[in-house]
Amino acid sequence: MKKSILSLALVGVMIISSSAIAYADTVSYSKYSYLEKVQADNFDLNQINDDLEDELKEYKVALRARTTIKEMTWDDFNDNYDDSASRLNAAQIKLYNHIKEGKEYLDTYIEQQQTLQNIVLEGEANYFNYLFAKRNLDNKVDSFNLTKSKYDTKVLEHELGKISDIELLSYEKTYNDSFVAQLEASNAFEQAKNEFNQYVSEPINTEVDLQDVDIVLPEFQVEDLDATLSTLLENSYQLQTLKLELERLQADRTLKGRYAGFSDTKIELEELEISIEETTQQIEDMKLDLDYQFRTKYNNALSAYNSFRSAELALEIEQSNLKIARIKNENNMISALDYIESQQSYDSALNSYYSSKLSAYKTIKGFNNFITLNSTAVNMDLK
Amino acid sequence: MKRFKTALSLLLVGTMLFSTSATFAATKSLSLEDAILLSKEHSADIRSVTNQEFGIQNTIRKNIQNSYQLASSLESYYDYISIYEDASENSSHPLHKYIGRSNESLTATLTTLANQMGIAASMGLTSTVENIQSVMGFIQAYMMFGDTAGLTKETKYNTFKKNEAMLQNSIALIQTKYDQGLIAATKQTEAGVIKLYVALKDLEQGLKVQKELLEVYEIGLANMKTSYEQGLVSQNTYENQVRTVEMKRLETENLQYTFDNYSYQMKNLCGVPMATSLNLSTDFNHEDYALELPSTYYERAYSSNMTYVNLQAELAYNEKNFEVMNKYLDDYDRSSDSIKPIYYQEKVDQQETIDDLKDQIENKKLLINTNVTLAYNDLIYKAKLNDHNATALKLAEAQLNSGIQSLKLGQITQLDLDQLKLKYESALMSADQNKRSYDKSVENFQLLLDYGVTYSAE
Repeated sequence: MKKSILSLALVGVMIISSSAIAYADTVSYSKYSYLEKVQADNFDLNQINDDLEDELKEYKVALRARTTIKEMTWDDFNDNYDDSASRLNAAQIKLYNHIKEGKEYLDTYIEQQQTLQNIVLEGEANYFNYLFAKRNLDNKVDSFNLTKSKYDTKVLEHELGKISDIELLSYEKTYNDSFVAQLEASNAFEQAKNEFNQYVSEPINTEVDLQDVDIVLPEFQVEDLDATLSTLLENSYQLQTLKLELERLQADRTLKGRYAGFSDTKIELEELEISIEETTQQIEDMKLDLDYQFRTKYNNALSAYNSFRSAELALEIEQSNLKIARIKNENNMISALDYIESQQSYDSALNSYYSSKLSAYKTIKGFNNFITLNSTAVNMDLK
Repeated sequence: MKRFKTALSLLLVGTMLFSTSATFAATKSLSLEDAILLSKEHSADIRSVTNQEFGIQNTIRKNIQNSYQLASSLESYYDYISIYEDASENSSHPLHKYIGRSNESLTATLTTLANQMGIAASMGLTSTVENIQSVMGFIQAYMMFGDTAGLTKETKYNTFKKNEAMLQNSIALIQTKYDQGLIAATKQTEAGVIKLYVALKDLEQGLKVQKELLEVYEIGLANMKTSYEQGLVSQNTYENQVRTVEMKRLETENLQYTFDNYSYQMKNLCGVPMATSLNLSTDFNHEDYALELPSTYYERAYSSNMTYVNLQAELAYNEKNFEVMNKYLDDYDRSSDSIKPIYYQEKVDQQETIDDLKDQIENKKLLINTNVTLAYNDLIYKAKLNDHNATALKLAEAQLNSGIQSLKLGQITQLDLDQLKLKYESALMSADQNKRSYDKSVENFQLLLDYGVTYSAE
């Protein structure tokens, strides 16, 4: 009687607590639904697109006007200058400023896209990281169970006087090591879970059920290095900005050149010369720098892929070693201790395999994103 | 087995990739001196400093103009003060009637006088115009300087002099700061390129040794294949060795990528097209360092550290200002009570700034001392490790030689000899790595002494 009251009271406490404080719920994510949430939490994509569309309209009008302005006559402009050439110049500068403004919106948009891509990439990494932490924990638990069962057997054998104190001690040490490894994996898993929950704005103690997917390494979006590079140099949005600025400065110089007699204009012209020289140099520097970035990122991606391949081969070696160790252990050709060590080497190789694959994924995808943003997308908007 | 086949085919593809990455269009021989020169020409940091020169020269020009204006105000003040003294003491002086009048009243008088001057000018009365002009000049000066606010003539004069001296002092500081900024940017560029050059040379050597090691692995694998075919080695052992060699190859390839990336960075610094292949022509031969650290090294490191040099310049400027203030302080003592506390506060503030700068300099000195000692200790440690590795290498070499004899006598197999070769190559590699690490430490130390680059252990 007493007992049932107690259990009823407990149920009551549980009901109260689950309604009062956040109880550990379980949320399920597939990689797709998760990434959608990551994007939605960080960006209002529709708003960005709407803003951009408005700003780009004017920008495109200005761009078109730039190509036709040379055919216009001075009557088309009502300005403070009394000669037609200066009026045309002044109008040109006005247009450049207009284009520059529009270009700034475009640049902001591209940079936002870049940020978004990075967030998505980080999000993906987070997803996989959590999955791997879970897999790693499962492995370590399996390893621990194996070690424990071997240890329990040895304890019995020791009691029966079949093995020495020292031999038992070495099994005990392996058992302890395995226990620690399992604890570490468990901590890493909890941490990964917390990070994941923070990322998706779920309460910290939420249990997460992730759809188990394998990382598929992306293909390199480069077939012809030279061709990709020249497209990149032609379309880079940063280079476009600098080129536009140079055009504007040159037009300004032409206009001010007509009034070089005035002392104020003389200083302004001197400053303009310096700016033109500096911008020209910046363009050259940026071309070289883009070339540098492109090659370096490409090498880094290749290198990350190699590291993954290497980890994969190391895993294959450990896999075959473990297979042989298992057979040998079953036939009493090696000690249980050697077998456990084999298992642990395999676990560690598996973990390196996961992390190097994730790292390769991030690097290759980062490289592909760099290529995409700096060439195709911008090109489309500028033409 | 299927996986194993894939590994083999990848090995082939990998080797092909590897050889294509080594083909480049043009080759440029690049000594360390060339690299320093080119990077200085190309450096955006240096350019951004020199581009400021125009603006700085303008500021200096404006300051000098201000200084002239101060001097000419001083002259007109001097003219004014003697007239003022006459006019205020002598009631029959024609300007006496203006002394003590309000600004509103004086402004009205100025308007009247301006009208009168206009009429006189239209009638061609030159001397009258000049007279009215001098009266108007006095009234304007009186409105500006007043009755000297209780200051003596000398005090007012000294204030001018003090301001002018401080202005000249700050012009000198602007110039010094510009010069130092240029030196700092140049030093930074030079230090960066030296560091990179050392790292590149280091990687070049490392890559060479790594490739040699890979060759030994590949020959060993070919030997093992024969043994495997003869049934002397198990399938599992052989397959794992194929994987191990493939891993070594990937490692070598990655080292090549790292080398290429450093090389790209060098080209980017020097403004050399990326497709150019660099031939690093400078070899480093470092002398050994004494076991005692000479104290002159600390002094050398101070003068190379731009933060330290900048702090010293700031200190010199503030001390000079303080000197100027003190020189004129006696006169302030005679000035009115309302102004005196302000001058004293200025002096106290100036002293505080100086003390603060001195503290900063002492702290910087301590930091530099620590850095120099750390870098030096690192260097000595690596030198000792070099000796140790040389012994290990000798041992591995002796074992290899005896192994070659043993093989001839049939005491060991080819596979055993391959193992000894590998051991020798590994010993060679670690000796080489440490030697290169020592060279880097030497460069680190020299960069610290000559460029003030912060020491970081690698």
